[in-house]
Amino acid sequence: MKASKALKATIGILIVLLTFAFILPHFAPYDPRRWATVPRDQPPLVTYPFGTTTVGQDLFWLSSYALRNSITLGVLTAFVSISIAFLLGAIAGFTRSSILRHTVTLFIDSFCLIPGLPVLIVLAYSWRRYLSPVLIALILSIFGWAWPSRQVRSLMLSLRERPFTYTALLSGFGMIRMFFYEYLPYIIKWLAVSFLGLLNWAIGMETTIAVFGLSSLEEATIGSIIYWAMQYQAVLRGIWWWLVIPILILMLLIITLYELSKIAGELIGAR
Amino acid sequence: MDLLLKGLDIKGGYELQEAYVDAVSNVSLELHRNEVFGIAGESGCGKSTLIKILYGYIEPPLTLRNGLIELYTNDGNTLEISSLSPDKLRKTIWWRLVSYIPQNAMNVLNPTIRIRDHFAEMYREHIGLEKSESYSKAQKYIETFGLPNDVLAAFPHQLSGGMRQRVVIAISLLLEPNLVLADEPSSALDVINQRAALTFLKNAQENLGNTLVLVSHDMSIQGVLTDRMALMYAGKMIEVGETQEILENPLHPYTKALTRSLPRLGDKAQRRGLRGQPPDLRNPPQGCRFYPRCPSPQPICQKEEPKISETQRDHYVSCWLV
Amino acid sequence: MSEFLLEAKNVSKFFGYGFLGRVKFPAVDNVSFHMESHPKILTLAGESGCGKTTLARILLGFLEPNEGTVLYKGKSVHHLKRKEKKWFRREVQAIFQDPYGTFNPLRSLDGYLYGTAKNLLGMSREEASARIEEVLSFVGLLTKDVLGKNPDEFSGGQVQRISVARALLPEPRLILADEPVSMIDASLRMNVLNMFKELTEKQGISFIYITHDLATAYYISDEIAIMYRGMIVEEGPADEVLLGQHHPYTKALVSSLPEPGKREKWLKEEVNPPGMEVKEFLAANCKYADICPDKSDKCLKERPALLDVGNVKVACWLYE
Repeated sequence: MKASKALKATIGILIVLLTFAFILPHFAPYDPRRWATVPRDQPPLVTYPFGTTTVGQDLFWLSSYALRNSITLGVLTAFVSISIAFLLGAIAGFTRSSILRHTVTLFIDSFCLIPGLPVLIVLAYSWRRYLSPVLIALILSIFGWAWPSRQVRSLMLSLRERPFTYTALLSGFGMIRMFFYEYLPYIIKWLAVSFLGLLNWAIGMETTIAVFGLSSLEEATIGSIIYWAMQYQAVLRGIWWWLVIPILILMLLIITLYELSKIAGELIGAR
Repeated sequence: MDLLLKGLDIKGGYELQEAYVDAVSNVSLELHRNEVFGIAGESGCGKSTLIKILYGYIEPPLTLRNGLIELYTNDGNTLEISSLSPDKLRKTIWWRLVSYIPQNAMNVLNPTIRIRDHFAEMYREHIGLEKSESYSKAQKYIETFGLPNDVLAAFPHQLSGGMRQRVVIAISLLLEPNLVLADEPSSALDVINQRAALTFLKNAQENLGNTLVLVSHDMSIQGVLTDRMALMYAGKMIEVGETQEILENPLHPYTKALTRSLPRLGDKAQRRGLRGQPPDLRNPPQGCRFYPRCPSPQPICQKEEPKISETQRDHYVSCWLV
Repeated sequence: MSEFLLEAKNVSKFFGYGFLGRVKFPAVDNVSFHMESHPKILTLAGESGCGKTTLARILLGFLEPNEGTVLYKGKSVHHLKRKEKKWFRREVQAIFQDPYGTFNPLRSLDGYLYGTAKNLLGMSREEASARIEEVLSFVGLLTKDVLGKNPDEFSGGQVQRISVARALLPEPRLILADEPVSMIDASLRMNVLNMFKELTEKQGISFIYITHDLATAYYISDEIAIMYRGMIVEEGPADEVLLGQHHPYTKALVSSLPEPGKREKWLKEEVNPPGMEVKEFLAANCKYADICPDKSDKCLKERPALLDVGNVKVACWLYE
């Protein structure tokens, strides 16, 4: 495995982000979500590396919590979406029964056509009292699984037609072997790339609805920080760090995840 | 002048991360006006690479390490293709003087525009014609080729593979280039479509009097289409001469083995194939590259590369046995 | 009780296209043929789209026909019980066109070789190793050069020979070879084809050789069936079919072969390539009629059955 500069940089940044999100929160000297814990509107300096917000929150520790929530939410979404996608896509691609194949395919395609964002906004608004990161993750999963499922279906269909499938059948192997031995490298590659892609997508979607105030506003997420910053007219009042810092963190996260999915595509599994 | 193109000591290959693949090694050739010249050989022999180099289509990892390629125009000028920039090539040489029909050319057509618009684009770019003029000119043009009229209105995917191939050939001849380089123009086609496409190409060559270079691994196709032929093996040009002469009287052991291994309808005699594989061109052997598989190797073959010698008139071969 | 090795009776396979797949076109259209028990090489010849690959899949039991039956040694291939399926797999094997696609590029070849020995023959590891060595030596390869390696460490011709070796493991009676040499260099094709001939003569294995290359078909086949648009248009002893040229399509195919001796004629004669129109597949009359130079009124109305002309059967009204 050639460790190029890009790979090293990506992994490095990823480690920094993960440390920031999952290790740092344990060291927070106070609950960063609570208001009025620190002096307001302090610019980024040594004491408060990311500055403080208008409602008296330490942005540094707050971001750390927020990143953790955003990533966890994204991982949960990706996991649920991929599971559904894989199950349905594999049925649609593998089954010999023409009826089952057409039905499941129709089901998948219908979900692909549902306009995600508008419906998401409506749902999030209707259930805004109950919104927690977990519920948001589940709602997002409803929209996330459809397109990947199509990919699984076509992956399965094409694998089934590869000559080596026939060679394996001629060698007396059954479908179980086909799946877990012959196809696995191809499947793993798809899984890795899709997981990272869905993760990225989920984080982006959650941030989008959060900016509308439709996310969990008590539990901090990157999106909710942006929401509050906009609510309090942060930039107009010169408190630029309240908006810029979370945006920078978000960009860094998304770019890193994207690079990671590219790398996964090249290194993992089939060519 | 009878000579159209001269290539001297062409050396080119692919620069990969680990090694350099010596795909075309010290190849020299001469092309005459109004002839069909074949380049034959099996996979990996370098014929496709040589064609790309002659055209000037040199994109990394392909590099030209050495070689002089001169094109002699109708009005007596000499153009050094090997040293022209891609920009200059595109503006002055490509399509006008030299045309290139790549492998699987039928997939080269833009699937989103109709055939007549392909012609329109060519006319606009090279002659500066308006669309309506282009359409009527294209109409007359394809009629001279015997192609049906409704071809122009169609999208590429509506035509069969064979028809698409003929369209691509027609487009490549639009500006009446002096030299047409065709790389396996029919290998993806069935026997009957293959015949249609190849006779199409040959008739066009006869009518326009240009020079056609036909790259094909199929010796039967070489036999019916080409006047002269060159055989390549592992990057080297090992035999050159008149096609009928080479097929009836092959001199190089590889040529002999190749012609003898081909099955023919009506002949059930036992045939033998070659043993072994072509050499790895990342690490080519020192002496004759055919040595490991030669049925009659000599000690010198392993040490030194054979030089090209002329045996009969215009029949050249590179072998120590001759 | 059938005395034939393999028999296809009125086999048809339809594929749907169009909206909801309702329009059906026949990839294989009422095909019947048989192979006798005496070992020989039968060629299924035709250009792409004629249905030969679909027919091969049906014969191997991978695809079910919409109509008709396939009988192997009297038993219906698509209605075999579990134990019989294993028996069928032992008796009938196949090799494919693309050597590098035949094996999973990410796995070593051992799996297929040992797998075949274990799954179809129930052999232990030692027994399998011995048998593998035997078949590899028959195709001219040494065990130590093959085991533990991935397909991309070999040349196309070598992989193809390994593919043949794998097919030989269970001592089959019939091998289907789908374009086995078209992706191998011309100078190496003879080695593989001569090997097929030897297998037929010395080990009594029958072959169904599927190809569009009539020259190689002529070289190794005893019998040949020419397919066009899903139908068999001519069949019989290879010499008589290919040199006799009864059916207009056979004539067109053979005359399109470039032969240096026929140069002038080949270049100057007019060529009429068949189109790929679906309506030609659906035609109820003779499918070759619209481009046939010798067509009559009857050809445009009724589809010809296979008529006897000496040893050859031809589906053409010219021979009524």
